[in-house]
Amino acid sequence: MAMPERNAPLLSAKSPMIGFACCVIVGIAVMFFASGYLLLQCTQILVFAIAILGLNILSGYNGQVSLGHGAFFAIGGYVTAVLIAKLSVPFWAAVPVAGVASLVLGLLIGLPALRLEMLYLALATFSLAVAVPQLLKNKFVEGWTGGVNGLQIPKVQPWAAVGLDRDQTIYLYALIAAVIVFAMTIGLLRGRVGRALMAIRDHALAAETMGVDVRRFKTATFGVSALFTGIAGGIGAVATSFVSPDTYSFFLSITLLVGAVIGGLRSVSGALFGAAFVVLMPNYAERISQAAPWAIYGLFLIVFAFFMPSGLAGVIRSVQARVTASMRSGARTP
Amino acid sequence: MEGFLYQLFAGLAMGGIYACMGLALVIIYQATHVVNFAQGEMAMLSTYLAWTLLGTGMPYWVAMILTLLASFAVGALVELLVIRRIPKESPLAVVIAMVGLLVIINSMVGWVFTYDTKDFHTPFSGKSPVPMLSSHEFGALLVTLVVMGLVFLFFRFTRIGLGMRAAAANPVSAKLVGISVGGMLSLGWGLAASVGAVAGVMTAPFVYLDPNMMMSIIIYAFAGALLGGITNPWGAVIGGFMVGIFENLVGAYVVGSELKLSVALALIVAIVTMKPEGLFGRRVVHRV
Repeated sequence: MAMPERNAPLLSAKSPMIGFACCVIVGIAVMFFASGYLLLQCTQILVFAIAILGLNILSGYNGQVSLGHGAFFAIGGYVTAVLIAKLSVPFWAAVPVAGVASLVLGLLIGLPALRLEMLYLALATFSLAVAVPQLLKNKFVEGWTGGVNGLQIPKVQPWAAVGLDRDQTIYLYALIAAVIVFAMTIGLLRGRVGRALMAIRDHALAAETMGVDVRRFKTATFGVSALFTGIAGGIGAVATSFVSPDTYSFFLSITLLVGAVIGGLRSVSGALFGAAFVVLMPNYAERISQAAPWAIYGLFLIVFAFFMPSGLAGVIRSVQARVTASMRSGARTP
Repeated sequence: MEGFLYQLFAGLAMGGIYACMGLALVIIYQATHVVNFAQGEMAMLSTYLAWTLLGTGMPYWVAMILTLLASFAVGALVELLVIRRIPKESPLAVVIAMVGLLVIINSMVGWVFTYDTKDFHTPFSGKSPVPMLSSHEFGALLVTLVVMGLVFLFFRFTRIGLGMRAAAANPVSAKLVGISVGGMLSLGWGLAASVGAVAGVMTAPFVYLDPNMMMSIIIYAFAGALLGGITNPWGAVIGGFMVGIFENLVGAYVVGSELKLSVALALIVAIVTMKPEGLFGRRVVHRV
């Protein structure tokens, strides 16, 4: 009975540790082999992967929707920027604090969200996404946020003791955050919590009768989702060392949604695929037209929503399943 | 006092536009049970069409009628090609598809017409009969009121209007009495697109023409439609006017014009959490 074990695909549920370890090793290798613009892009991919994972947990695993996750990305970015630029808080302390601020905001939004049907929640978060830039530059917070001009963040000190330059240092921070966040998510989703979240998604009333505290789980999920996206926003702000209201436009929220849908809402690895797509694809599409990446986003949203609801992660999973199946049948026939 | 009246009337003029957009949202919501997040972008597309036609030197009102007809066709086509194929059992997929539609229209217009802002002239000139309103404000208010009146007459007194109401209220029975339900839904989308086109063309002289011009208008329209009740077209119209006046007064006297959109956001959150059926809507009850 050892056969299936040996043939199990690397990233399957049976061997998540191996798949995860491989990803981490690749992640570390990238730090030494990529440089310049490529390394910056890789940092962006990690940042977006963390943010999109937050959205995946909320929408894919818990069945709530948010068209306004850019707001949490913005809170993470701005709190980090204000802490570093105005209060001289070190980077490693500023980002977690920003994450907590985002978590609190997420819980505050999660509470009324409990009462809302999907459609109303979509409407409310859509409006939030449109209003974010206005909220960031209004005169009441201008003193902190720098208004329309945004806020410059002092550059991160490179970790020279181990021979890393500035780009590599930021990448390493992003990688560490990503490893922690992804490991936490995998651990949580595999156990009781994951089952509870999915039960709520599939049939809230049935989950309630099974003893799942629907209100607490839904609110907490909104909070954790916001926490992840806020942390991503904080690291993203440090990586670009600048925040401005335009960074967090309505279209940022849509970018996160696109990444989540294309990667696969109901998967953890999908967040990474989706992030790679939204970071890398525009580089090529923009050569055709400024509008081309968005045309592709829109088209993919519709196509994936209906024809490939499990996203790229689902495609990879089915390919893996097919390969293993053919390997097994190949092993049986003499 | 005079300043207050000016703000009140200016709010009324914008309210007419929100009411039109809200009416379009409700027509679509009633017909296909979809909140059309792309309603603003469809109106923006229509406005670009009108701009192109006007660029050929065509008389204004001829260009408008052609725009309305073209918008009708676009709306009906969207229903036929996209909305009809949406599996309605997953509300999340529907929301994602509507956002996809928004993004596609927005980017295609940006691709063809660039993202530069363009001037869009008003057909109204001369002195307005109401001293508190500019000639465009007065004209826009008049046009939106006439359009909403026509839509009301259409639904109330024509056979097709009755058929559309029947198809929305009870598709199965409507089909049994020989109404082409699918056709009615396409007509509903077409009609909504035309009503939205009027709102777009009337908005453009206020804000200039650019691909994102309806982005905040649609939020006010959502707020209006929700306030009046998304299940009640006339509620949505009244809600649109209320939001127009409220937004203008709050912007002028309380929070300043920079935070007007956030007021609409707060209003939306307040309505959906406390009274999701709105002021004049009916409560939707689900059987478990």
